[in-house]
Amino acid sequence: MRKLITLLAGLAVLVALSRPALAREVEYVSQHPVPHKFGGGFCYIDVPHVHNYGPTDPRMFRESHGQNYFVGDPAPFDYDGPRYSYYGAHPVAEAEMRLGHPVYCYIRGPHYHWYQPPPQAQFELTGGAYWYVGTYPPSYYDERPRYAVINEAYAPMPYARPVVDIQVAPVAVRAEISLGGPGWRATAVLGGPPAPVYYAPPPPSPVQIGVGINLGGPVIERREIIERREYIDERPPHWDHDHGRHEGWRNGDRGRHEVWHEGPRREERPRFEPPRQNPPSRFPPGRAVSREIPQRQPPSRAPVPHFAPRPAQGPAPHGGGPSAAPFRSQAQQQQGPSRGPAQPQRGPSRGPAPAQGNDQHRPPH
Amino acid sequence: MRLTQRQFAMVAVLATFAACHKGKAPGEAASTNALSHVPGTPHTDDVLNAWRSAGLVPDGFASMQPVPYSAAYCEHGKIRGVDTVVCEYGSDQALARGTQQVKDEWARTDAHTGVILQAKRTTMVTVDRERREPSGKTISAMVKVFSKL
Repeated sequence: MRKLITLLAGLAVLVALSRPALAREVEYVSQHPVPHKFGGGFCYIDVPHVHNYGPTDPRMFRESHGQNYFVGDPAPFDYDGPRYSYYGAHPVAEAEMRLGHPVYCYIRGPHYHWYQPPPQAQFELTGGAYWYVGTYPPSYYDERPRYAVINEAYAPMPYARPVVDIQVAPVAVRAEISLGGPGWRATAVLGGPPAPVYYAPPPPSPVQIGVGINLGGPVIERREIIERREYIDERPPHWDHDHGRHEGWRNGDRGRHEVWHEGPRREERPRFEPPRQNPPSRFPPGRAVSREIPQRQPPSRAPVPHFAPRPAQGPAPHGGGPSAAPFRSQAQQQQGPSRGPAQPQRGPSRGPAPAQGNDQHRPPH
Repeated sequence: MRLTQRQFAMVAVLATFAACHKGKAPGEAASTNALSHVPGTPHTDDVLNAWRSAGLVPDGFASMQPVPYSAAYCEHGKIRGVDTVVCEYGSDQALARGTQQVKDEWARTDAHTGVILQAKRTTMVTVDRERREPSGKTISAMVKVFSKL
């Protein structure tokens, strides 16, 4: 009896092993890169299809019910089909159609896609790229921490991004980026690591420094900002994006800087308008300072409590000079209610902003 | 034994009848083949002609016996080296069953690339088992043409 049981068990194992193993079939609902192991390049099949391999990099895909949609930039993968330039995050109508729920591209800076935005979508074509000027639902902000990692996937890839003239960016987008201060240019040029001044308020002129001091703003911080800003401005154009921390792009570019070379012209930088003309209320000298600055201060600088907020003496939240006022009002109008979730992150000046900035502009590792 | 004139005439009539009967056979076969196409959905010939017009040369397409994938009619051949099967289905249930069978077969054979697309109740199934074309450009071109049927 015991022998019989052993025999039956052995037979069962044999049968189980002899069953034909089903290969792994992965479903794609868009064009996508092909892993190097499977030949590399790009698969141009744009209807649902299967492969016996998984996505090259899951950070570049959206997966829904076993279906994978490539949301990335196809350019680094020998893609030779039609391509359209975009700048910054935007909804992906094609993906939404195929996956059945809203999908957003979180790639920062200039990038390509194979599709044009649908005519009814709120995009502006200016400066050589499409800019999304519509509003985002809360899901966009909810998913951003999860999907913004796509930027880390692209950071070390050497490829030519589209050249976009950010000086003619749509007002709405410009206003949004201006929330981060002059890092606007760094963002445009880099799409990567933030400059130390990225989340700082607009730079004050020497007179404005005095104003800042008088208002009780973070004096030391402002001085530092000014110094840094000056330093950046005097760099050669091809250094604009680097700040010594962006090895991925620099190495990938091999010193050519074909894409990122054109920083905005220095004499035309309305975003650096003095704060006395545009003292946005979203830049109060609040706790943001205590978070951000201590990391960047030299050890000899004053301790964090020195930057404790003094609400009564904020940087002129009611100020607003004549030239800067429209800019601020546009930002508030276009971003205030609809992009509400962004405001708490970027708005409180340098508070939550660095967290987001780190999220958005962290240099690749 | 000599045949009478009457008997000879009968034999001739029978022989003629037999010959006529035999001569009908090819025609019958042809009509059977034509009947196997499914009305109300693009015929295989239409698909192949559309591909041909788009510069995709179908190679060696022939009807499949027995008809696979629960279909009513199928033809198999290659386009630029990619295995292709065009099938016509008589019902939506058969189409759903056939689609599942195709996918099961891909999994069994570890197909590198597989596409199944339908136009009404006609399907095109392409399989790249030998990784002849990782870029899928031929399949993409076939799909574009097929989608317009």
